[in-house]
Amino acid sequence: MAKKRSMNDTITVEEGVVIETQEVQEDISPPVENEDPDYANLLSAIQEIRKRTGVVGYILKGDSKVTVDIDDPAKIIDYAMLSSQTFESAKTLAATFRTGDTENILIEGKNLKVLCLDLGQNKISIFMKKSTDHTGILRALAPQPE
Amino acid sequence: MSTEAFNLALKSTLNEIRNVCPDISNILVFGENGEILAKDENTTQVTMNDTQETFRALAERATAVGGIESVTFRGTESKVNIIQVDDLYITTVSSNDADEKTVSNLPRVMIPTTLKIVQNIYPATKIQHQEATLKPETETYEPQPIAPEVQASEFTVENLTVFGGFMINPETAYIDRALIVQWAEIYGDQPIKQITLEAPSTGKTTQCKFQPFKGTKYENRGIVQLSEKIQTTLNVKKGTKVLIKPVLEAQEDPEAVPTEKTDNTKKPIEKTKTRNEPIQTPKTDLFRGFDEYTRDAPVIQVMVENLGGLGGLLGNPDYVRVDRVVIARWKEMFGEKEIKEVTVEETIFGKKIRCKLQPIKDSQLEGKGVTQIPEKLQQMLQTKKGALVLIKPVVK
Repeated sequence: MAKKRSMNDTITVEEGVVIETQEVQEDISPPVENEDPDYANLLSAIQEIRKRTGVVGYILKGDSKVTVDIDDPAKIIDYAMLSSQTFESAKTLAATFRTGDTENILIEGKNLKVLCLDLGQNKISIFMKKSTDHTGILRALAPQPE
Repeated sequence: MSTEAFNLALKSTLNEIRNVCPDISNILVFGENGEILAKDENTTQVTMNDTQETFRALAERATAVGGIESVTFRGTESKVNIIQVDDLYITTVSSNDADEKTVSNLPRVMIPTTLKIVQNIYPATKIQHQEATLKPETETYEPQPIAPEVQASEFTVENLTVFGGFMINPETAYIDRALIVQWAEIYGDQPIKQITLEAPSTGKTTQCKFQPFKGTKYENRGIVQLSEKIQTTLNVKKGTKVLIKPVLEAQEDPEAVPTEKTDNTKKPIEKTKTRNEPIQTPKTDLFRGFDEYTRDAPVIQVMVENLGGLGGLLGNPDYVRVDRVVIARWKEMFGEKEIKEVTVEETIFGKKIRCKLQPIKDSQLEGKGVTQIPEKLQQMLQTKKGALVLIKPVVK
């Protein structure tokens, strides 16, 4: 099981591995090879967004790997399940109401809000305080029209 | 509040919203538990059910962010928007070109306004219910200006064939849990153990026990599942329309045997208790209809609710949560005596457990006739959300 933990508590796990915060070891994974360039670019962009005030974490799910960086590690499972359910719900509603391919989803909760983007193979969920400007984040991550 | 007036007003409002804003293609309204309250005429039953299931699943997960206030799913062609207004969730589907402020504000303004108007016209039910639950020390109820009689709802008969008849009581009608919740809201503390089924086509009537559907297949479809025995009694078959009324404890015939009481004359239930009759103290209400338990302590009949939100994750799985008002009444009755535990009895197979109690923390569940039971205890009782249980305090 390849796991990697950077200084800001980012946890990267291979697909299918249960996210476990207690057993993370330091830098035992081999160097990343042939990484999806889209995934790498998105990860880089999200890491910049992560520095913004009010952003409390993110989940980036690629074809074969997931990167999670959440302020409160105890919430990782809850956030991961919410993220997964959100994309699942989007799929169902898109089929039900024929809304076309889902581009983004914004959930405003009573405590936090979540911005989710479906970018084909890569799916992003960014968790932030309610006062955070999500439109700027959306602009930074959404694919630019050619 | 008159349910028919409520539904009609809400449906008309939704259609008007669509007329005013043609960019809205669908609009429907959920209750806080995910039950569908109204839909516009453009939305099909299948669409409604799919949306309901999706919303329920998402709302369950969204406890991680404090519950849903609003959600927007933006697709390449149109978007689905769900917003919370008071206790309601309004879903709109609109094109991406639609003016966002109009799409968002129109339902936010029109739906609550309509509901307020309807509530002003039919104030009895909900307001009286709140008074009954929030002021347990009140000795008598004030007569209400409008006195709704026990209302009948029309349902279509469906055969009772689930599980091949196994584990099904042939003397029990299986009904929509939304209807049971509605009765709990309307009739508050008055225990309802039986229903009256009336077949307008044959003029026959019978009383029997009831349970919520096993499974979700028939929910919100206007269906009642009846065994062959009850269908024979009523002289009806699958597809026939029947009327269902709750039998309040005060009007229940103590000698009535389920499914055996028939009446060939088409007449309404005579012993209907109306809201403007003086009702005895809440203390007496608690004791009514549970003779086998009254020697020791009062018993309440409530509906099982999951321990959602943070309570579901962090709450003690050994405690059941009981309405604060009920606990206050027990304390009032038993004074200094300690009540730290309750017995919870599942009503189908009579499985019983004894466990500790805590007051319900979610204020939105107060006065709703529910008890929150952790998953672990639900499994021990072999019960689940929507089922009825009897709760009795253990007085030391």
